[in-house]
Amino acid sequence: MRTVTVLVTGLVALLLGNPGFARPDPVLRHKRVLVLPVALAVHDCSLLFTTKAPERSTLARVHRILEERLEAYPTLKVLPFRDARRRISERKAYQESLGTGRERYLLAREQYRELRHSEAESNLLHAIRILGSIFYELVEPEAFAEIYFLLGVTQIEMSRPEEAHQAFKRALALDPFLHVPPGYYPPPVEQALTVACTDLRSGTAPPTGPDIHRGKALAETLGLDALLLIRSGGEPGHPRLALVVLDRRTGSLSFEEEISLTGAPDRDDQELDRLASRWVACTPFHMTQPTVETQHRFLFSAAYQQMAHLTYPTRSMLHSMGFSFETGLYLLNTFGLVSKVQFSTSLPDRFDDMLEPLRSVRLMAGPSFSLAGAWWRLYLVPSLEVQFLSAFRTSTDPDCKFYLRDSPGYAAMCNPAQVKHYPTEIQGGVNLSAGSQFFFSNRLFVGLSLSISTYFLPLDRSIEMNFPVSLEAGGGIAF
Amino acid sequence: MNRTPTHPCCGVVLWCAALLTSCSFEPEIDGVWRTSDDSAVDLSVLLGDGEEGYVQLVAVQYEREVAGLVQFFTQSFNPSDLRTECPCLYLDKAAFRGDSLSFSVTGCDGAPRVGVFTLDPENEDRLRGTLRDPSRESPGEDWVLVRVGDRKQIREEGLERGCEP
Repeated sequence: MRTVTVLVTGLVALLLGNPGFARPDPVLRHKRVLVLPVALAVHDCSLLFTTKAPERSTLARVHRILEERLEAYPTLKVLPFRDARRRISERKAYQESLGTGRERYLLAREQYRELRHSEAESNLLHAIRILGSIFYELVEPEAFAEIYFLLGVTQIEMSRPEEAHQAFKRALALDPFLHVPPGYYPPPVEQALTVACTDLRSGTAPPTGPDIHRGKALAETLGLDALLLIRSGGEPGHPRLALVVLDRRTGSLSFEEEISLTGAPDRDDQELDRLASRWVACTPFHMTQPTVETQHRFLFSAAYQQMAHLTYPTRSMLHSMGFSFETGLYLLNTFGLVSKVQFSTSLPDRFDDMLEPLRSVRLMAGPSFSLAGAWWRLYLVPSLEVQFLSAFRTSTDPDCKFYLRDSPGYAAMCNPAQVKHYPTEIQGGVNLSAGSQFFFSNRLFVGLSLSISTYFLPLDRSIEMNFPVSLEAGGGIAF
Repeated sequence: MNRTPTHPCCGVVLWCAALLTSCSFEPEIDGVWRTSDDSAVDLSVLLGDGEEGYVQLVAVQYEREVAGLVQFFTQSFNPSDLRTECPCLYLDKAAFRGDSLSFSVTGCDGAPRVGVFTLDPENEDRLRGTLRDPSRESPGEDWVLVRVGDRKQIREEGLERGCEP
């Protein structure tokens, strides 16, 4: 008893005193960010009225470089814009609203042709509201620009140039290469479009400013922590870029900085590098406790197990006890491979029908699917199993149970026909195990699991014993 | 009657706990039982008129079924005092129901004898009952047996070997 006390005390002291067993330090939580494409290219307003589409030499390179630079920071996870677009467009709400919004637009176009301007404007505004709610401008910005453009044209027809000015600016911001055939629209439309383009080019501020609520909604839809918007402006040949960052948690514009592009790729790349670096340096990162899988790759555990067979060769349920030893290799955050060996021996059954203990060795191997938090893991392991069973005998005759096998009493009282013999056997089957592990230090954990097996090999089953249910309690180490 | 609603998981957990807990019953008549060692008892029902001696009953219970033997001694319970003639009989068809042990033995004359003994409700280490010859109308021998040892003693004394020749 004294030895056990000393051992337990020593173990506890080792666990508490060894700095290697301390809880892991919190780590910076990844920030998930999306870099929106360049909000406004430097529009050459002289190309507004042309039959030939201007060459779309966009600032896509700037967007790509910025995504690459941000991706290089280990604390950031950049959602590529193409993936964001795909995720938006695959949403059910998007598909439903897209049809309704586009129908409104087509109806408005007919109404405009029939000079029913008021009805056309109403439907255009409705279409903008519907399509805006599904972030249509990110998926099909040129198509959305067409709607704003028609709205501007309609409002000119309705002698409301101020509102048309805003609509044209929005159209030009969405499609920096918007152009119309010269003379196709009446002079007031061309004039208003030219003014809007010039106004837009004169500054870096977008026509309506970043809509914080919409940005926040987009960030929530895509599970982002921050939205990065790049605005461009300045004169042709001397473009300026401004990076604006919307932080979802605070719901505010947390960063705004401007750089000038020279046209020299190396120098421009350095400027973009600095821009990304400045934001990363300024932005706050939250600390988080690393989850189990990110800390550990290998796992060893031992457990005491209590087992009951749901079908059994005795008159009462057969219970066993034993120990199991498990190894695991975690390949992904939620996926690993585990193997286990179990040694068990049967306990006396209620009627003592089992004449000698049944011993078994079980080998299991399979994939492990898990969920984990900072100090816990839940797992499910379907596995293949092989079981080696020792030979055993059963009987319901009390005389065959009481007297020793080689005794006169056994010879006199036990009828051999009352004893059933089971030879050594190897069984094959499947096992399903579900359990939990609770880490009380960086590497050590205690665990509890429940499992059930079924054996179907050999096909010619002579043993009425199957479906062992096991409860295991133990602990282990992961590293 | 209002019942407190319980979460279905509670049922599953309780089921698993009950399933995996090995609940064994407590045997009531396991052990070595002896008549008083102060005075010999009448063994005429087994061995013929005028025969006296000391009786030791060995019983092991498996739920309701019982296995065991009866031994007869001359002067004391010392193994050397085991009767030379008809020293030991096996319990045949023995059962324990309620608080009553019933069994039959085949006497040395080949005729069956029937025993019915009841646990004393105030002292579970005391059995009281009779062994009688069913072919006779006599009430049989009334014996009081006291438990002097448990299953461990059965093992230690080698009684699991049965009636040694």
